[in-house]
Amino acid sequence: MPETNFDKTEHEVVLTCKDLCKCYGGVVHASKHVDFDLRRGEVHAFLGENGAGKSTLMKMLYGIEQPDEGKIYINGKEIVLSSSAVAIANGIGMVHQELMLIPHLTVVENIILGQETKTKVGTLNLRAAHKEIKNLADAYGLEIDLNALVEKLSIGQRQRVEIIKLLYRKADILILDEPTALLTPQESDALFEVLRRLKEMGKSIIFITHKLREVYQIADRMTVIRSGKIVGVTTPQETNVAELAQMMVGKTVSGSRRTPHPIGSNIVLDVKNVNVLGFDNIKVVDDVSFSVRAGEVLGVAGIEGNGQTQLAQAILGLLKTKSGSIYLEGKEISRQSTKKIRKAGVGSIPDDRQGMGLILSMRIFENMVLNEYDEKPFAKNPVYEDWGCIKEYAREKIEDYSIATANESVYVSALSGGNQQKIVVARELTKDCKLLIAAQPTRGVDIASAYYIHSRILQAAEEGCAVVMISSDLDELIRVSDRIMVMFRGKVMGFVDGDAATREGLGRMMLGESDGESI
Amino acid sequence: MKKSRIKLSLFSLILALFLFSLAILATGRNPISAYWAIITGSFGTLKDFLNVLAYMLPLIMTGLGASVAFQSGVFNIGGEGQVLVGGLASVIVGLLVPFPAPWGYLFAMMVGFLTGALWAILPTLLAGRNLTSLSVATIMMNSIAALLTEYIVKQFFQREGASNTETVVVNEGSILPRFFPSTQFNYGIFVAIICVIIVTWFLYKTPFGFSLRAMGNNPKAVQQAGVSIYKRTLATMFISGGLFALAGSIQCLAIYKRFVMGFSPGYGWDGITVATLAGNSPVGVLLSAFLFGMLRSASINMNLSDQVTTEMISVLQGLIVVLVASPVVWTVLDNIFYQIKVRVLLLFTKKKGVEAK
Repeated sequence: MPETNFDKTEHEVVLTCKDLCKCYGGVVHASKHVDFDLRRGEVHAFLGENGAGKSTLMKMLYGIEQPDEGKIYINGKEIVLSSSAVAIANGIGMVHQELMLIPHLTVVENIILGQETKTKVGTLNLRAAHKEIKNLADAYGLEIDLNALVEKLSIGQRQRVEIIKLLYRKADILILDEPTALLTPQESDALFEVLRRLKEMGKSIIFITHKLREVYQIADRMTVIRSGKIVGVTTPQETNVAELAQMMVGKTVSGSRRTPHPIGSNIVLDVKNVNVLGFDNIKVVDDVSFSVRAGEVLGVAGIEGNGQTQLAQAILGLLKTKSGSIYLEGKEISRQSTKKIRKAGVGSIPDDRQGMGLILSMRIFENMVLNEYDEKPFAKNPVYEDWGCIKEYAREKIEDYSIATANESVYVSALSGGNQQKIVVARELTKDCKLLIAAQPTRGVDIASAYYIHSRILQAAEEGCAVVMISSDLDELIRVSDRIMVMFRGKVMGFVDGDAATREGLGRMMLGESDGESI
Repeated sequence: MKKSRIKLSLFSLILALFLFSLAILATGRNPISAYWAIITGSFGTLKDFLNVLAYMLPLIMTGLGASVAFQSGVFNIGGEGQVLVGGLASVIVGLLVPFPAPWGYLFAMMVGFLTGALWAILPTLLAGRNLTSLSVATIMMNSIAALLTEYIVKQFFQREGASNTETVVVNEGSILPRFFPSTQFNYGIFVAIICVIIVTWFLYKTPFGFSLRAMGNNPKAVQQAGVSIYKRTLATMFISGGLFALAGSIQCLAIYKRFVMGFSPGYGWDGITVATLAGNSPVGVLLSAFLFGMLRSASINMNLSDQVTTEMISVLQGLIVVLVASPVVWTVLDNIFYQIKVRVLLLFTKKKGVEAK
């Protein structure tokens, strides 16, 4: 049961890390002498770029990884967190970025999984569990239909289920790993509301993020991490966004913003009444029509899973359309093979970089020619691939995009997320790229690389390339797009001008209210 | 091949030999004399050595077949069936077509290759690139191949008066010649070496080979790039099935000069083992096929010297594969070594105060 009477002024420390060190492969320091303490009843934000060492630290706190050096104290007692079971037993719970729920089970079933309440004869006692969870949820003000199937719930609701799951396991310290990554602004606000309540009830929360705005909304204190080291511990009152960004990145970075540039008159991509069916013949793309002109960046906003990915795949010929037509420079392409569509000048940055964009177990130069390996000059003839020429080409691209690597023969898996994504962008933005479909182009990419990728996309647009940019990062969309199209359940909710777009307006449209100014 | 992969195969081999020694000890024999028997059985006389090479030939072919498939990420485990149909097709050509010496066996082997290739295409047409379906379909094709070849031989080509299911001897011109009448070592070695060279060139120097390797590493990424996964899978199965089938052709045309039911003691399966130890590299296949040829040849010698039985050799083969295919073993060992190193280096002692609750 939740405790309510604790002394806030005391700053009682519930978790202390002393001098934590973790190396991988003996060389890379994922954590360097990290000292950190967590107080009862606070929301403590961990800020850092991708690869800064946030997740390593959290894995050590949750018992997934063991520190090479250093100690962890919980409520003053030293504890060796040898597994996540030990962490849970000691009151530490974690909500992972990918939610670990079983879609076909109900909320109650998901919550009790692994910790089932049994009746005297040993069968599952769902009724008792239901009652207990109901009390728990009410006490913390977490509204949820306990009998609903998880697959019917929104991402925000599922996250709530994960939180109840932790409370059911009597967690006092909750670690949330980038919880807002997949949420709309409105859902994020609801989550923060829940976190505030948990805080008041005496729970301590570690909130991992790289979004600065959120830190100011919710955090009591924040710790900034850079390359495995703690750069500083501060409070929202003591600092401002610019300072914080500089602490995170280590140097000043300036975002690249769209500058007014001429948009060509010729329509490059024209999508007319396209329908795509998914599993069970459900329309995943529902009567979508839009067009993109040369030099125009069309942003596509929407909560993930509302048809954006399928729309991109349909344009690329990876998914068959049920009806409707897609024209590339006036030529119908919806029945053509992916190969032909790609050859006609369509570049694609897929949303799943490691799953679809790159071959991690191959080298940089091999990845660089994935689209053109069978064309001259790379393939001299059908039985001779000119690896020398390919390496030369890869070196040029590495230079051009300032990809941080020792040479072109490094395995892609050894590169950071930002450098990996630069390879994809470098490969797709060739000279004859007429249309670029960029899905989540900067997801999991450090700030400096993200800005760089934006600048390259904008540069391509200025040179006359039409761009369709699908993103769940609204700031990115507003900064880069000329126009933003919002999708909801496969339908187009409306178009918003890039200059007129606001996070709140887009957020409402993403939830299905079509009150945006339609153009 | 990555350095780490070579290391993995070597360490697996060493560890397997160590564990095998324990197994020999457990049967009350001396492991050192068993290893000595393997070595003398392989290198003792020129004849022994040539026999090792003869045992190696079919394993090179099936090892190559498996390597091409695995490098492309296609799980062809129908190799055994492809060996059988390839062997039978070659023998039928050898029986029916009266070409003179080089053309007779060359033509017979070509038909063997094509038959095996088409036999491998069949389940692929049905299953596509759904890996589970393809695996199951190719496995079932093994049984079909075994029964079908038996039926065809019994029905149309059965040698009269023979107690086995077997054909008569093929035409003179279709017999793949041996170098010396007293050993089984034969002209198949040329086929094997040419195939190793072609497959190496194909996989590493041609655009098509690159696309297959890329597909093996990440099919979704090459699909994004516009490559048709289905067509590439068909092509892979064609090549792989043909290589498997050549193993059958060589054995039938050179060793038995006819089709004998059960001529393959599992070459198709051994091919998977050979490729696994070789890390799917064609050159590696040469080495690992030689090793397995040694073991197979030795198992016969060992039977004679009563050191270790043929079954024990299968245990060693199994150990090698299990170790190569068990990354967990190596992660654990790596971890142990690393922990020891860290502790020695830092002289660091950790208080073990694990709290249960």
